[in-house]
Amino acid sequence: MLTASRSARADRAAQSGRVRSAAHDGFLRHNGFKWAKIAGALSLVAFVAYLLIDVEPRPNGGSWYGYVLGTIGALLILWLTLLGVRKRAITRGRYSLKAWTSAHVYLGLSLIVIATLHAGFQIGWNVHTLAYALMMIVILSGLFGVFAYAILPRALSDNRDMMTETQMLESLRSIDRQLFDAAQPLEPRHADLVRQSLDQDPFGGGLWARLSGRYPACATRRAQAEIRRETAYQPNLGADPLERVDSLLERKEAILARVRRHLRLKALLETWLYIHVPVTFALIAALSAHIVSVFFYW
Amino acid sequence: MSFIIRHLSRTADGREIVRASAVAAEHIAIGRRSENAVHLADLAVAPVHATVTIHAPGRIEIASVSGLGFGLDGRTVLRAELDPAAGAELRFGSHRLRLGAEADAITIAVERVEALSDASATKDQQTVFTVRGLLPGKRASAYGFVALVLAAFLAWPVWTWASHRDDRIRPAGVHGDASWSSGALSAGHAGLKDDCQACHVDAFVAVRDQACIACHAESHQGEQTGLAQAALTGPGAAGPHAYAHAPADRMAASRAPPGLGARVQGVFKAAFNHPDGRCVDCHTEHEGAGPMPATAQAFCADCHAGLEARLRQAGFQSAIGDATDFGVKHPQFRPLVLAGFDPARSAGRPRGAGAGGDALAGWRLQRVALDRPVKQAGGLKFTHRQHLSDRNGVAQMWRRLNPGEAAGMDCADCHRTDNSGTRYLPVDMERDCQSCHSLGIETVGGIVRQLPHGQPEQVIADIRAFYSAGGGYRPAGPPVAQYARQRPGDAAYQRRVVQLRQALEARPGQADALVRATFSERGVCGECHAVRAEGPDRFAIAPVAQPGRYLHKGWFDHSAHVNLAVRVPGGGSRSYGCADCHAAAASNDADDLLLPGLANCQSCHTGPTGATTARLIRTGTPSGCAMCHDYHADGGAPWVAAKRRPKASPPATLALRWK
Repeated sequence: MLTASRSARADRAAQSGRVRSAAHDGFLRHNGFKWAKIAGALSLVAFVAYLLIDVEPRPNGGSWYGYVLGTIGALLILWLTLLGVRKRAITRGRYSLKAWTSAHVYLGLSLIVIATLHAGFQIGWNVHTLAYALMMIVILSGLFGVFAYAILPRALSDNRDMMTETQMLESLRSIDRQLFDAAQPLEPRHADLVRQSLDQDPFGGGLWARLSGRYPACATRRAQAEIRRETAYQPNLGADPLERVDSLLERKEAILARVRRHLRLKALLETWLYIHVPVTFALIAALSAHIVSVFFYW
Repeated sequence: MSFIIRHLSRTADGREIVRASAVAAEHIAIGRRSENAVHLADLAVAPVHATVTIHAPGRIEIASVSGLGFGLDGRTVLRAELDPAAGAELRFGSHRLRLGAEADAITIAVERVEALSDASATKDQQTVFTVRGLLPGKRASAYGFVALVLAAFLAWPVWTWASHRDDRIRPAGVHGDASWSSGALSAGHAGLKDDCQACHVDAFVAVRDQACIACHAESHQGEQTGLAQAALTGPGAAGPHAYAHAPADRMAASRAPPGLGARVQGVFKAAFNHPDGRCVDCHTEHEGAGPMPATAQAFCADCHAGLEARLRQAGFQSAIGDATDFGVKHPQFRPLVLAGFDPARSAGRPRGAGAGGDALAGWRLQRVALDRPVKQAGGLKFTHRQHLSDRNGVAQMWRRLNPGEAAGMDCADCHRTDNSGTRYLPVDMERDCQSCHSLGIETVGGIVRQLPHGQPEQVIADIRAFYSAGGGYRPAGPPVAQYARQRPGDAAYQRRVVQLRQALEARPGQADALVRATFSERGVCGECHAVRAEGPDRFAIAPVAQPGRYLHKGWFDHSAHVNLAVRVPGGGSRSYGCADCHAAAASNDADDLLLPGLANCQSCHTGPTGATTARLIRTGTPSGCAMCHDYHADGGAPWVAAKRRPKASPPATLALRWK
């Protein structure tokens, strides 16, 4: 009955077009920050209860409130991990992936409060704190991911300037072909500079170069600087192949700069997941060890 | 001879395209410049890189003219002579040249084998823009981490446990299960830090009392106190609670019905094999280095809040009042007081404390609530009020004997604490009274001869011996008999001599008279003791007892209260002495029990959180149950957390001042 009336309302809304579609809301502000409110309320209740409940001799995971928070925390962790399964099945509606992601983010943040209170602010060099530390790494990397997803796509789009990745690669190949042809008449010394530029992998440089956008060993820049240095004081007669190579190298550098900004933004968007996901599994392993150890020796 | 040069290239689908050209010459050049017969559009090749010369049929020479080498069968050379019919493969930059002989010509097949630039090479567009390949894969590192964590923090500890199961004491060293410790052990157990299995014996079995008793029983052998009594565990045994606290059935009946929290905990405990009532319920470990934390008040209040009603409901007769918090709800003190002497009870038991006997042997004792003034007959006569005055004869005599000290007597002039300062020793006649209440009978060579205190037969014998030796009455020093004390001055002394002589002469038998006078109600003995004459030479002195401790279920430490200088509300400080608790100045009856009641304590002591219903006379002292009470009350001081213990030991004897 309830379902029927709800779907009828949805139909009416669809016909009148009066219902605001949530499709343009991000997962952060999904449904009027519903999950932010739920997670905030959960944290607040946990915190107020922590203050009100007089656990003797002092708060820790072995008190009854500790058990409650620990159970909630462990179940939350397992549920949060399921996002990896859930995201592979995209659906709409109440339990849409967006709603799920929104809950993932905010409930994940509330875990900071729940786990800290579960621990009763006790830390040490042991498996229990290891699980806590891993959890904090996962949450902080996730927080970075949230900020990356909120901020970087715009920068990525601005930098791309309507170019697709295929087009970027094609423009690189095109400039390389032109450079190759233009460099044919050059003497070996100059030809070698150009060849190094051509032979260098524009996607190389390693992770640090990706994340920082710094490529100190860029052969294109070096080639351009060398040739520019030699041609600077020569009159430009318009027929010198070196001048042509020079301008091509300059164009290649501009394309490379754009590609590298693109790579950097994409790396920032992706790298956190390389921490978030494996450490999540480490966390689940440490959590298992934590739970087993507590009941093994207790 | 001539050359046939074939340029090979491939279409996108891999089909080969051959462009052949014939050069009729004995000598050709290879290079990047288009004038060369073999033109290689390759930036790694010099404009004129090398030459090929036919010296004779079947013998050609390839020589570098640019100074740059070329590849021949994988090696880099500057010159090579070879037979084209045998075939050879040359490498110039990204180009491969295959030599061969065909009829009358030498063939050179030229093919570009590398892309003209790195970007032009085949790239997987799906991955090249991502960080894949730059980082270990997510899946691989996830599995790696899982394996690592499980191995180090689960498998290794379990293996450690399994491999040391039969060790009595586990050797020191690095053990896998160290990572499981949730916190440092207390100071007393710090030596067990490498030996988790000393307490955690079986897997998934919570620490049992046997683990505690394994060590603690032995250290208390003989006196059967402390944890040795906790060894009453096992089938049919009363359980560790029985030890000096209450019978197990009463304990079971007195527990409050579990609240929400306790029910939640109960579910976990039942699910994970975690029984109640173990030593470790109260003696919690892994709470950090230092002394073990004090047992919290909540554990006491679990039972003692609403205890009376629950016990009654369960059919027990109990006089134990409810207690929740010292400042809020605590029963009135019920000291154990003297309730009369029964000679039959003391038969065969030495009473003299000095002889190692029980000073209270033969005395009936009973607990009396301090709701109203309590009397206990201790067998002595004493007037506290008279002795504490500073404007009567007692004070005057005191001033004469102790010139310049004080206007009158003070508590500490007679009352002394034991060495710990906790309690007061019984007042001792010889030490505390006799300087005024002299038992002197004569002066021999400047020494006052004293009658022995506590030995009536000896006193009689001494008096008779004195007269039978021909001694006339020569009052010497402080005279004996009717007036133990005299007013100061020679006139008073002479007057007493005359009075005594007249008294003796009026009665036949000097010795008999003095004996009677000594033991009479106003005599030197009868002044403080109840004396009953049982014959001419037999006088029974009523038994005397001075209990050293009245509150046996609680602990009171005088040393913590002596001469307290405390802040009072509204600023300022006030010094507290004996009189602030003990109303001795108003009592002229030795039978008055001068113990203060609960309200007196509550005027300073609050609950541990500061809760109180009393009107405080100063800033409150937070006081948990454990300040005065011990679960295993064994007569010693309760176990108190170190931070509440006094920093330095109290002085051996405290100088108490009355005023």
